[in-house]
Amino acid sequence: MNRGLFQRWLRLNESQRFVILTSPVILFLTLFFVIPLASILLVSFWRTESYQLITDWNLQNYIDVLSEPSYRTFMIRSVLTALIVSITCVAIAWPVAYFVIRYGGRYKLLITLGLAVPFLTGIVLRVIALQGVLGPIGLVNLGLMKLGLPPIDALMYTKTATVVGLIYLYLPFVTTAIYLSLLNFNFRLLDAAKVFGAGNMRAFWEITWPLNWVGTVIGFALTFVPSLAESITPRFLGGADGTLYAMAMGSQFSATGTWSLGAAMGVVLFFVAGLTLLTISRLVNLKRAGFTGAGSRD
Amino acid sequence: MGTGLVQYGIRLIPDPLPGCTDTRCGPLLLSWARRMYLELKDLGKRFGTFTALSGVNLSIAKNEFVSLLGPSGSGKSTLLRLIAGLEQPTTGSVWIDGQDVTALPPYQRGIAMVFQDFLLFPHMTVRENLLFPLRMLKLGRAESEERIDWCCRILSLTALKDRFPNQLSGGQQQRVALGRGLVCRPKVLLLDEPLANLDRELRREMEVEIRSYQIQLGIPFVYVTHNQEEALSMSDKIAVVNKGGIEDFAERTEVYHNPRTKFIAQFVGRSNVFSGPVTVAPDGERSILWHGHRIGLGEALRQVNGGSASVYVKIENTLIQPGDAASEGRIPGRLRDVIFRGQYAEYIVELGSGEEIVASAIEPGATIRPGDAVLISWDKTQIDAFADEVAA
Repeated sequence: MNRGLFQRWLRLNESQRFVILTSPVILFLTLFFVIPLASILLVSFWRTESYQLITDWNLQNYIDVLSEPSYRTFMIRSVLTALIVSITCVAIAWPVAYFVIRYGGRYKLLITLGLAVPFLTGIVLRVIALQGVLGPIGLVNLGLMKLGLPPIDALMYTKTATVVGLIYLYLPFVTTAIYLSLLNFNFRLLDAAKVFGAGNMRAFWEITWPLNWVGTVIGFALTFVPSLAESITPRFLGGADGTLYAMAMGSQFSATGTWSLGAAMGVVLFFVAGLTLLTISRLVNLKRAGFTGAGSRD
Repeated sequence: MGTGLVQYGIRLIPDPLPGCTDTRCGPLLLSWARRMYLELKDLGKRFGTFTALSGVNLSIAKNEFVSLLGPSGSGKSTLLRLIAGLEQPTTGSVWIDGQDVTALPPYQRGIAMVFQDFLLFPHMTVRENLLFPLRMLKLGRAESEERIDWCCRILSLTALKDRFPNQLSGGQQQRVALGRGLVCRPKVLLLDEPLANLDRELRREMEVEIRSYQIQLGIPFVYVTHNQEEALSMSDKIAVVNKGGIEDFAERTEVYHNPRTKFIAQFVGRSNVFSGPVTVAPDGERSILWHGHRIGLGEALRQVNGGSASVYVKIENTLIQPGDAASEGRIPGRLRDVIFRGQYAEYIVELGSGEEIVASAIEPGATIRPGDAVLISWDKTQIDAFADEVAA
């Protein structure tokens, strides 16, 4: 390294170093995150007419989004879907992560990396593959019919199929979040709990669960927020009456060309997601999370 | 800290015998107290092909403070976990207060445990940590509060009640861990190297306190340690654990002064070791030959007349005096160094053969200086001798 440059670096004070070290990130985020987001916000207060943006400040888009019954239905449906998906993911991921940690031995890391295998293909391919499993002539229903059993209608282009697809997509994230949380959990605390009178279940709910609550919440949020904005999976698997909010929003930018309405829908989605995150963060008391750095020592 | 104990101590000891309140019950009470309270019968534990423990028999009376002393890996912690029920034994049984608890889970055994790394619940305050065992016992609110108050008082935790474990110093965490063990009034308290993470001064202080709680509570404490000073200073009896078995189980002074096996002689206390072939003089006196010195066996090892043996002389029994006139029972050497330890000093003597002998004395003798010629001797009755195993 250039000696003079290094000497100069040493002479800088804390805040100067901070500015230098963070400037690339700040630049990147400003260019590709803040500016697009700001422009969306701006556009949401404009008007679109026959595929033309008109700089005419108004609140009509928001009034439309909030009053139009179908948008409200889509939003409620999206929130419900995201809720079901993330809760189911947490419920499935917990035992998986737990058993990998407890019984994975030296293969722990390998098994965890195995969770990423579905990511080796793109999202579209994964959803189409799922279509091949769940669809009318898919693996499940074709198999059932070959055995002389009736096909399961609920799996063919329905909201249930969307939920199944989303769970499949986001399960690895939740599992990884809970896995990492359990990795730092001192399982010997369970010995203490058992010695002091707790059975297995009691020990889990008293010790393991609260001490891995943060990891669980992170896993939940990692699923909830993207599921809320998901449009590809419902388009492939959801069928005609499975339209979700983000699909309706997407079509404003393509089919109908009503960009400013789409932008307003985006802003609303942003707020709903933000509100959810805020609510979730209120559920976490870091002092109760068992993090060693949470309290001040005096 | 003591007043709380005196005040509450009497109440702590469970009613010994129903209706037994007058002094005539004394002898009966004594026999009740001497009754074996914790018994291990032929206890063994295998992990796969590794035998961690085998054939452990131990009987501990109520009121007894017993230390399991052994080097790391000797199986002493496994033994404690078997008593706790955190591990299932491969063979044998555990009896507490006349009841076979081998098949019972830890929470039905009436035991409590203090762990080396404390294992306080990090998401609970001190008060909640102390409350945990009481909640599991489904104790009433008033009773719980009273016990927690008592516990906080005797352990000086009252001011720390609402802190989280990570806001406490090591010594404070230790006291909470101990409190959690005492608050549920167990039948047996198990302690797994509870002082190992504390500094020397604090350790001394806690040794005295732990011992006083044990006397006040009148329940057996089983204390696992690899630190012989701890074991010697606190226990009534010491079980020396080695290679998955109990080498000896005896009064602490017995273990220290009359080691029953070579391992104990080596492990407990500090000794000078002399090994060599056993020779028998025409007058019948037996000795070992060590680097040209004849080391008399005295009354030890009567039955050994050949092979080789080791003689252990504790460093405090090793005497040192100035002079260079070697004679029978006096080994000449040169003082190499004096290590001052405060109450006593250690004299490191180098022999002509290059061997080292350590002698300790209370007098920081100013009369001998490093480099001086000295003579080493000891009282022949204060040696421990063991025949060496014949290498196969």
